[in-house]
Amino acid sequence: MNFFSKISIMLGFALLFFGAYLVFERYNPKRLGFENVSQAVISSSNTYPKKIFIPKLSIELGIYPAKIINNNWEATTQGVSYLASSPVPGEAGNSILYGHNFPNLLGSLPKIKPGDKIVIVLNSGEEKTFVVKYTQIVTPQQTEILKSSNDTRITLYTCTGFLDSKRFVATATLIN
Amino acid sequence: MAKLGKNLLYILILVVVLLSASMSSANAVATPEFPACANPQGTVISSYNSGTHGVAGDTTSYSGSDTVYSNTENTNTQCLCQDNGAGIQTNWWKASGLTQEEINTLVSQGWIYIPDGAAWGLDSSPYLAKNSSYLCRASGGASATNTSSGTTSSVNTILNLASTGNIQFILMVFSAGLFLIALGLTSTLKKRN
Repeated sequence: MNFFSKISIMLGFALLFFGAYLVFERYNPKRLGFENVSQAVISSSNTYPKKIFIPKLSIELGIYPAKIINNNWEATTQGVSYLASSPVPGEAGNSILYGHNFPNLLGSLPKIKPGDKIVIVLNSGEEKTFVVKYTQIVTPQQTEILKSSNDTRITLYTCTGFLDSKRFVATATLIN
Repeated sequence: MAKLGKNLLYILILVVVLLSASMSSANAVATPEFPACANPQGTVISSYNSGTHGVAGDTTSYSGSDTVYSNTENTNTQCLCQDNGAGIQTNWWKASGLTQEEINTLVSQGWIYIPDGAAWGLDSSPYLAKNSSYLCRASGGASATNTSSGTTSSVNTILNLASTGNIQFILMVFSAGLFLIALGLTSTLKKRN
């Protein structure tokens, strides 16, 4: 086996391992989470968010309730996950919504800008409109982003950065 | 065959080492966590809705709102939201408990050494500061200009090349891997013949 063949084969296997790692990370339950976040008591409210619209990005997705189990963040591949231990969007506090950065889910979220609108439709049919106040890239250790707030806001995030090592966060406050 | 197995083992070790190196930070000093300006925490120690403000390590004057929070005894967060919607977060870390060697290491990692925090309205003590950007909705309602957000999005585009959400990228990695293996094996077989 000559030098060229050796290098080609070694590089080829390295790429296959790297591809396998990316696939593993794509479905890793810890990937969308923040580190060491304890879960509050899940609200017994009968109201829950059902759909999310972001007109500027042409995003229209279903919302699915999710929990943190042993630091694994449940995440759907069908839409956006709603952390059921956070307030229902429209109630006072910080409602947490998150989703994969797949192109058909929140892949385009990093294009959102302050001033853009996010509409959440509740199961009752009521619409809650939020306006983006901040966007920021944070690390999974910056868990303060999930902390409760005095205003009525949603924190919507997805993975970003090299090997999804960071979180792109859009914070929006209620306008109606 | 044994040689191929040995080579595969080397590749596996190399990949594991590279991945661990890319994921672990090479920090010799444990840096504290700072809340993000998108949801600041702590006590407000100064707040201005408008005016001209400075940023550590930068001689430019910025116009907009500026709020400084005290997070812990040794850490502060400054959130500056410019009138054009471009925000600058400065993390302030009191350096009095750090050795000169630790300070030098942190400076080499992008922290800025400020000999006296009093000049910035903080305690009269040396500080380390680090800036990062975010986008905000300015009090006048303005959003970030295209210029500032353009830079951010081009950086994001490069970083997101290795995003696991990009299935096309993953397929490309697999295809390139298979192609290179096939190329290597073909080249070997040709030589044998």
